Amino acid sequence: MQLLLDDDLVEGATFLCATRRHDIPSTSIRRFHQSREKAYSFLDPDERQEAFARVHQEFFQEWGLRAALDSGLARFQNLQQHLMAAAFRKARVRTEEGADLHVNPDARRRAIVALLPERMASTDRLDPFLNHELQHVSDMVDPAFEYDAEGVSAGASPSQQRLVRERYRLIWDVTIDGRLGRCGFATVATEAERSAEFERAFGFLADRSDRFVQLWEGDHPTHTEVLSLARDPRGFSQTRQIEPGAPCPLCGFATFQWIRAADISAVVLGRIRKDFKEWHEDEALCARCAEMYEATAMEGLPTTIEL
Amino acid sequence: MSKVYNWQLGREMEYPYDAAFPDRQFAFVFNLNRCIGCQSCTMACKSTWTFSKGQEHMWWNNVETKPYGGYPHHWDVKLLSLLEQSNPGGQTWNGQPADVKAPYGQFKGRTVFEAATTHISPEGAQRALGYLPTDEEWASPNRFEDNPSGSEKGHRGQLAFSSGANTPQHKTWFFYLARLCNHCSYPACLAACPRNAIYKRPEDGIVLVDQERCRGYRKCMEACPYKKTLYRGTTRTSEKCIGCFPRVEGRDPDGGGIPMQTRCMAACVGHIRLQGLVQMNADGSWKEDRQHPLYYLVHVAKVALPLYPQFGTEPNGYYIPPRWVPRPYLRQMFGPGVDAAVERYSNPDRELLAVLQLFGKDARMCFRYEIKEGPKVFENSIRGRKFELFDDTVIGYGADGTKIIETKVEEPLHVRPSQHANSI
Amino acid sequence: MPKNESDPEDPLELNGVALLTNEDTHGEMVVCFTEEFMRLGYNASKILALFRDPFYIGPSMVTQEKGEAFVHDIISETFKAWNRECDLTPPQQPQAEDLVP
Repeated sequence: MQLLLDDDLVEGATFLCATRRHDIPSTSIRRFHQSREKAYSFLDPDERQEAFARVHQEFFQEWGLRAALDSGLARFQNLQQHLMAAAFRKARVRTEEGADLHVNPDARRRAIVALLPERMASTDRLDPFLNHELQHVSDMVDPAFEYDAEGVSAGASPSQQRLVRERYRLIWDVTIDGRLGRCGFATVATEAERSAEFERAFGFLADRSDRFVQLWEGDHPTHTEVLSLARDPRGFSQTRQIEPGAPCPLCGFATFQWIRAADISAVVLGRIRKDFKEWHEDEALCARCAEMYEATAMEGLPTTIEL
Repeated sequence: MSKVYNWQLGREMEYPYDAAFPDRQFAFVFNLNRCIGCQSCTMACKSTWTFSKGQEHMWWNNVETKPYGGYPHHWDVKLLSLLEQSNPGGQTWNGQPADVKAPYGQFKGRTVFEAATTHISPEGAQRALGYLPTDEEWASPNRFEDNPSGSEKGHRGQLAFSSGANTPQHKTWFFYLARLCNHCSYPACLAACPRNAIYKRPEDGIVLVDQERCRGYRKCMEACPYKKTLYRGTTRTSEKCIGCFPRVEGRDPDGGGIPMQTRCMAACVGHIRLQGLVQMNADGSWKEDRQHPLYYLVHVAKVALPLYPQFGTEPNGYYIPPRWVPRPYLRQMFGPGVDAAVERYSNPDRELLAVLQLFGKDARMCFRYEIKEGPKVFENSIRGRKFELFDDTVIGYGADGTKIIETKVEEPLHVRPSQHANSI
Repeated sequence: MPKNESDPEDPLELNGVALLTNEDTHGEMVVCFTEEFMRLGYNASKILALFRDPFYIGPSMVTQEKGEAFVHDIISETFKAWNRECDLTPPQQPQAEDLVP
């Protein structure tokens, strides 16, 4: 696996280390500035750029910054096997930080990790971040995890997709921090922080504490397990029960207002049966669908065309 | 450290170098009561000086919405907070406003230079208390600004847009603060530079970064409390506002050989800006120059105040505070002179009304003005006070005595016909 | 869906901005802009146009918050106090045909 470094990240990180890291010998910092000084003597912009890149690469190595990235990668054995390259680039803003997996048409995979140079000036900030992001990548390339990027985005509506993505992210993060913690690696969030996040996101689950413990202490989950918990945490798709918050069998939107088939006129029932052949009258439907079918029936509007 | 006299603080203070003052000092007054945040100044500067590769993020002149906006983000809040941490509860003023040597009383707290002596930053010892903003803080210069939001259906002949409709809107007071380098008398950037690459020109006090000497240590960015030096990644040097020095020197062909105001000043459509060169005493205070419009506004009418004088750099940018903004906020930003300045500006006397007419009237610098008295136009009571309006004529003269402005208090507005190109 | 803890740097977060006061100073702001532009030679209708134009964020915000009648009244009063002729006609409700789709 090749390690690729973005010049901007290398330059930003070495500059900050030269001013903020007190463990670097002052003689080394002096040499760094002297070497930069020489690079200023190149007047041709391209030559100057190359000269600076060389200086920064040299001190990136000398001050152990490259080694920090190498050792981060080494903590995840399967990356060596599954990745063609791991590239680290500079993120300009915090929201840009994170890891992405890029797959070539020939199925060769590269991981690209974006991070702020400020992180590289302090191991306290770098290690937890690297562990977290590289564990994500490690899961993604692990055949046992069966990662499917498109599956995460699938959903009935943009708001549902967003909800599923957010839940997926949280569940995955909980399992990652739990696993990293057990291996003795630094994590970006503590068990208490993750538990509070889980509590806020899944407050509607009666057994949320147990579920959290299962995820935190559990072994390697699969993509399908994480996704199914994100999509349907209460398992409504299995039970088809009439419960607050369960999806309406007709429109698929979560509803808290159910209407029983017994309370609907025969004309309306007939129209619904025509449109939804698999719908059972004991399933009920949401008040919005009932209202819509009631209105179209009253207006004498034609039923939908069968395609 | 040397002891230098800072007239804005009404006392001596510590500064890493001995005091040295130019013959004349580049200075300007912004009337914030008139600023409508159109950013014409910002674009005039951008299109003149910072349009090249590596300068994309640079705005030597910017206009930010206070109290929310800042470029870089929260620059003033961060500085005030650092100073407060260094001297908890001690950043206060007292004493009575005195003469030209202490017009705002005396500052009892610590300046950025004094606070630095007991403060160790993550970067080690500093010559001026400060911090290095991150790339993120320099990005999105208009973040946290108020957002325009129109409706899909506008009135005929008006703009109708909805791009800002989903972003938060501030529902209370705010104002626009136009900023550029203050070309301070005690520049923190200059004090902090380990390469002595920053210098103050003896002829006009403009502070410049020598691009040949600068080696991109960014100590100036860390030290400047106003955050007006910026790093250019392509040249790996720091850059800052150069005060449009060719214009100030009178080398712009449009000026006919006499000093002109900077591009941002001349481009201001709201006529909020007046810039000039003021004469200095040996101790750095302003030499009495009663008929100089800037001297009049700062030292006679006292309606124009320095921005965050407590930082201690003796900035040469002065602001007429916006009169609708709650006083405590203004006092923090412009010092104890605020109440009197707002009072005087809200009830302007005959001379002030005339001098305010000089703003934005000509791109050449005004070095002296005189007023020819005109007839009384009306007498009335405004805000419970007797008010008399006189249609006086104010005449402004350039560096060589050329008459550059002649305008009346009741000057009619002439709109240039559309066939003529607009020009700044 | 709750996400991470509130991020004060996120412009779309609901930031609790600590202000020294929540005074409504819109009226004073309209008086101030009116006096300033009147002194520059603008007539009342030109000043009102400034408050209507969403490009001029500050003045336009007052119109959006308080309505055009509020701005109109202050402009008229200010012109009267300064003994100037006010060329504004009383504000009218927008007609349906004035609305552009």
